[in-house]
Amino acid sequence: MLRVLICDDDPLFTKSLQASLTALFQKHDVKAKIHTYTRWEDVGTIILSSYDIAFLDIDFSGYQYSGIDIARKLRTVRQDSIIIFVTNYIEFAPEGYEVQAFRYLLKSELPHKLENTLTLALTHFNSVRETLKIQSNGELIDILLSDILFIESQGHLLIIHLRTKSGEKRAQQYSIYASLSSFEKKLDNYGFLRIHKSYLVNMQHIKKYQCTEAVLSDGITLRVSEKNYSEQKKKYLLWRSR
Amino acid sequence: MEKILEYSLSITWAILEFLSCYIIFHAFLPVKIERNKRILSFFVVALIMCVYSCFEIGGILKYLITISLAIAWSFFAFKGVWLQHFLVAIISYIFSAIVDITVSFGFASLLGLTFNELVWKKLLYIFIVTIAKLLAIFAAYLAFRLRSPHRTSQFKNNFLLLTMLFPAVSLVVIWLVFESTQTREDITIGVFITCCVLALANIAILYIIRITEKNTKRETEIILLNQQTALQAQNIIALEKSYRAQRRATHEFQNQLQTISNLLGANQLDTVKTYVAQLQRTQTTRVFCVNSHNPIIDAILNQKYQLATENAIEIQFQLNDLSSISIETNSLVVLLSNLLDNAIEACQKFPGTRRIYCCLLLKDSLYLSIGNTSLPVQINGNHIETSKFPKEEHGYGLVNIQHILNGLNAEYTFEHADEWFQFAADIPFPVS
Repeated sequence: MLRVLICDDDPLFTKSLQASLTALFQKHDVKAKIHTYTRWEDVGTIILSSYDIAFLDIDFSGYQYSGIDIARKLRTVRQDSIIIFVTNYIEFAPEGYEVQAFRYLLKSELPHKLENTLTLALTHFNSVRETLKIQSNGELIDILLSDILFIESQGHLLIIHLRTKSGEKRAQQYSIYASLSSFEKKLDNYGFLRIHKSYLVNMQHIKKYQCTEAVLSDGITLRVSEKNYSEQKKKYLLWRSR
Repeated sequence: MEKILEYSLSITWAILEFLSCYIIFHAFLPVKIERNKRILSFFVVALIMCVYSCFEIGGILKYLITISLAIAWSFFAFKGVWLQHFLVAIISYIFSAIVDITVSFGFASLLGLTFNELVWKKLLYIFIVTIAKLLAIFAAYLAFRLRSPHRTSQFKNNFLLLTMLFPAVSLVVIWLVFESTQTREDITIGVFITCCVLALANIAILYIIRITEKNTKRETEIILLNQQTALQAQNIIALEKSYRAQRRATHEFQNQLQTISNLLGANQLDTVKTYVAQLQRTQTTRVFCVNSHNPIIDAILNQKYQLATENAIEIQFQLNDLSSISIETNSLVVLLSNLLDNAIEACQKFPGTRRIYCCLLLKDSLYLSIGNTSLPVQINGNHIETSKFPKEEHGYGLVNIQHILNGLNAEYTFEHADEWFQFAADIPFPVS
């Protein structure tokens, strides 16, 4: 069940947006629960972590906080929530990037653009929840693709390196017997790049990609294939804006 | 034993001749494949030439086979349109033929011999022909060194055809002249002079090609500069509009403050509350929609945002703090203006929902990406075919973009798939 948050200081608008979203979710056969708030104080941090999609106003008249502040709080508890700013005026600014805003919508254009934006948001929501099923040590394991940093080939053995989660001292790893090329084909449409004959990397975790090395978000540095660098770099550049 | 020596000589001369051709090709055409593959293919073709050298193929057929092989190899190893390959193949063959015949007949004339008499003095003949082949290689190397490193020709096909006529005719003349020495022995000095004249004439053709290339390059640079100037002018107009709008907003704001001050002075608190509430309701638009903390980028993106919105194109930006970019203003203007103008133009032709997504992120490098809905485009390597006419006067936007990105040592790419065109670039360390 999808959990949706609407936070706007205009109670009439929140009701109207809630009605529009309810109709759209029914139309697309998506089960969703929508909660509306006009004050940030009514939304606790714990409750905030349960929301998958958040429609936030930017300006809250008469209050000390803005939609950006609410988005920052949301990001501290949920990295994968989709944040859509719904506002009377748009300002594309670094703060929006900082909170990874998915889209900006003008209130005046909502009737024309809400459905399209919601469709894109749902597609994105589903894509970040894709998993990889593997059998390791006799166990069937489901790994979130977004948790995979890179897959390393050591002969016939593949080691799947996961990112270090908060609270963990070391990152998890899984070993399986398979070929890296088969995984490359399987994960080609999910943002994985073969930067070296021994490494298949999740592009969302690449911090730096140069002709000599690639640095990942966990600080790990990997060798890069010089022969394929140019072609692979182009794939990375095109993927990065998604 | 003599036969073996003859075949060995044929093979050696064939390889030396092809080597001078290789150098001429390298002087005139940009390479397509990496060096190791090129050298390997050279030896394969040289081997084929060696094989047929051992057969008694004479006359024009031998020339045709050699030129055809050279052209086929040229297509494999070098870039260029088919006429360029033909032209360079003929130039390279005529080059080695002229040097060969000039040196052989020159020596023959010096020694007071006819060419046939020289041939009978086997050791001397072998020595002279080998020297001729080596001289041809040396001269080819000189030509390679003299040519510009950017060996891309901007010729139109019909110009290439005209340029090819004289070398092709020269080749035929040389062959005819050489064949005529079989029946007449007293024309050795005449052949030598003819070859010298043809050599000079063909060198003149090559010089004309070089001048024409330079002029074409200069013309392109002028067109690019004109486009940059036009974009700068547009940018200045946009900045002036924003400045006026900001002045108006500031003026209005001052009036509103004065009104509030007067009302507070008259102790009309209720009226002030109503007035402020009314102001808040009516203040629905901002002058600037983009705030990257870089005034130049803001000016350009705001202008393009307005233009896109006026054309019913949904445009979204993703950007972080760009205040520390130190790319030259002119380059920034041309880069962003061209990319966004192209995106807007493509969207205007698109029948469905029109969208542009612009991403500018500065971390260790500047990442720039512009994607837009688009009808299919024809992409040829690093070039997009313009759909406008006349073709020679359009399509310079992308050339300008590439020119600037190459100057910034940026890596970039573009593609079109599923009604979406995307351009992405990574510009290293443009930070002040």
